[in-house]
Amino acid sequence: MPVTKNPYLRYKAIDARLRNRQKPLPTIQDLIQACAKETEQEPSLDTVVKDIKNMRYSFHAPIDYCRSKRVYEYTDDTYRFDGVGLMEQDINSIKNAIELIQSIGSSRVSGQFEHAMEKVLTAYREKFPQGNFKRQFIQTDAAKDFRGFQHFDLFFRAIKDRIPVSIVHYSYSKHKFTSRIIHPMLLKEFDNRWYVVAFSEEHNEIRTFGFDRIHDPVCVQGDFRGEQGPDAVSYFQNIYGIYPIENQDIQSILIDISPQELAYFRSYPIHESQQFVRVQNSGRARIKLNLIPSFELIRLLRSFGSTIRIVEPEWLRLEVNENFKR
Amino acid sequence: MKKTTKSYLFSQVPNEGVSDNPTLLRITITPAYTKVDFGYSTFNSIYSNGGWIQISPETYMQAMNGKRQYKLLNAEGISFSPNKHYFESLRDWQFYSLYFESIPAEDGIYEIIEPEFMGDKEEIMAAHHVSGENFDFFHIHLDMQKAIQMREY
Repeated sequence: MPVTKNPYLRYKAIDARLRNRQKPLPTIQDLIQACAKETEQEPSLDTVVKDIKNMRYSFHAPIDYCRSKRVYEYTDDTYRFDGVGLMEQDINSIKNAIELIQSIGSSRVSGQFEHAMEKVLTAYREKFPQGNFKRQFIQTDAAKDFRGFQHFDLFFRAIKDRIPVSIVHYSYSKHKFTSRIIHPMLLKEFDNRWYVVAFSEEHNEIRTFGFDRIHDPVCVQGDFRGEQGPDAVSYFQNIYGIYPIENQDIQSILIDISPQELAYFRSYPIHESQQFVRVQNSGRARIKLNLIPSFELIRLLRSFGSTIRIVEPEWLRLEVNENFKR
Repeated sequence: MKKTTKSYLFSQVPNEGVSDNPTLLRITITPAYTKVDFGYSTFNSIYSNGGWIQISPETYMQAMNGKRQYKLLNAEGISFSPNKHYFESLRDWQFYSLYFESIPAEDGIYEIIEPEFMGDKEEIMAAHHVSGENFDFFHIHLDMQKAIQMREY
């Protein structure tokens, strides 16, 4: 949103003008001039009148209009449009948080959050006019405009307010559509893809559904069953990725890694259960994972090619090394 | 006949379609319309690149043994004939919805009928559900005990 169209800058200007003890009781023209000075663009009379109305309605600003003198004033001197007063340290923390959200978050959250961020950023710009908001210094790998991301807000609210949701799901593997009632518990991002983790009535257990495979989610009435069984965070504790392989329990996985991969496995453990069983002088090593194998784990292990070798279990060795050749 | 003032959703709808592709997925009854959701997959399609789909604007919903036809008001995700929604491969899919006039929110058995397509033979052969034989759904059971009330978002 261009700064000149941002109403919050005008609200701040109106607020400051109403508080000006040197020039009390401003007219509507005074308020227009105050806004013009702040935004470098003169707003219309209608715009400022609407702004005052919005300040009264949305921010509970006690602005009174004296018809006889045709001036505005605050009827409550204790009212603060800024809300909570912030110390410099608080403002610095907010500044860092906002810049972090802008860098890593703005492409991962959708519409409703942008508006709230805009409010904060407006106040922030005023306090830090030298701030450089255009300079990006963190770049993440977040995908943009992928199928199904428009569902983010609905699922976010459904989780927060514990609302069951009716969805239509298309299975990429079975090539079939199904209609389901789910009770969303967690929004999860993995490998640049978004998923909703939910209790599925049809499966009577926790399941994970990719946003890209969900069509037309709608909120429905009914008791929320997302608190049955394990919580969603615990559900993923023993899994690398999203989709555990059916009928596989938590198990030990031994992997031999070549010297050129040693540093990477030390720096970026695959899973919190990863341990080094042995490290040879040459840099050749064996690691152990303790988790439920998943499709994402198999995909990851395959990506290492011949630089790693699955020692056990045998079925996983075949799946990664042999079946990959099919 | 009960006037619908609330909106209800049927997540599972027993029915007898000619095939399971397209699949009748959900039915929503609101005071303004009845929405019927379908899913179609080109997997196993006999047509090159998955063929195409379309729906006749004359399609209607009707209670079994009833006389009143509930007209098709709108469609999303599928083209009205003679226009077509083309697929690109045998790995495509399409979710689409048909909006009919509002049916009563009470138990009932319905059918959805797409009148016979009047195009040339080649087009009839290529179509997925332009002919009555391909698309029609019968014995659509709506049991209000299984209806879920919708929630405003």
